[in-house]
Amino acid sequence: MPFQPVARPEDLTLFKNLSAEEIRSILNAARPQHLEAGEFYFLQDDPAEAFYILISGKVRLLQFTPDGQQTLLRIIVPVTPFGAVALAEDEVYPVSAQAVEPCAALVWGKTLLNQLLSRYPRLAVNAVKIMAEHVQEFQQRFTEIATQRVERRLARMILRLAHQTGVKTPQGVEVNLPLSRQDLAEMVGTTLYTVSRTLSQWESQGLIRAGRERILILHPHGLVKIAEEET
Amino acid sequence: MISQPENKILPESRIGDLMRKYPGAIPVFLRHRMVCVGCWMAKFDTVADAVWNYGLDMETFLWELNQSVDSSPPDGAE
Repeated sequence: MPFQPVARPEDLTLFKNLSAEEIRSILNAARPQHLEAGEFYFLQDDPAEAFYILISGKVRLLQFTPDGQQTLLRIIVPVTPFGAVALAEDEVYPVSAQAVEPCAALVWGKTLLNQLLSRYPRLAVNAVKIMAEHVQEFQQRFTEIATQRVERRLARMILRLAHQTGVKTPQGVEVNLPLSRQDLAEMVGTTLYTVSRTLSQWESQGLIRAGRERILILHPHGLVKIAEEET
Repeated sequence: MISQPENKILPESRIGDLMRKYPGAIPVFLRHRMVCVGCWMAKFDTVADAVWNYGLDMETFLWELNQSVDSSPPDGAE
């Protein structure tokens, strides 16, 4: 295969309890699909006919409301599956998946997926596990929106992103994602103004350093305290 | 420094790693009312970070952690 995934496939929840040989035959059945920045792997409300694993690049999952408003739900980084709803029957994609930068993904089409699922039932069990994790995260985020102050929600979102994709550097924990302040505002359900004001405040307190599409957490515990409202 | 060479937990040990490897250490964090257990940042922060954040005494805290490790075999032992 023309790429070298950073994480080993056997570490993915999707491939749990499958043998190395089974994983190889599943991976070999996929076709690679490369996209340029701005292009879409799939669009919201399209029939969910393929399942993906992102190998390189970054993909954002967007949801559009009927009046045209856009919400950023999640950023996919390598090596992560997306479009898992295709593993269920007769579904449509609840989100659009857009490449933020040049991307490569492995794709399994519907027919192939059905064959693989009947040959390796473990795949379906694992997919349910992945979807359950997502449901749990969104339930948590929903509760946060309904009950918590914006500052706390923003702290929790940054910590969540750091946990999922952060890298420890000598200066602190770096979250290097193509996220604008508008994106963050959409993810926590607030305004651009509030996000900017809160980030500047944290910056002056020495908790973070907020660059363009990059956040460096200088004092993780300080942010945790805000997230836990334990001040 | 009273920490001995055979100590498994060091100031630079990452909290997430050590809790996964030595579940017996978890009660030590709970006893000190630290939020490290289940924290999203536990995989990045070290024992030294936690000691600083909570204003603990490094030698005592390390001793407590290493005691807990010695009294409970590591979970991930092969």
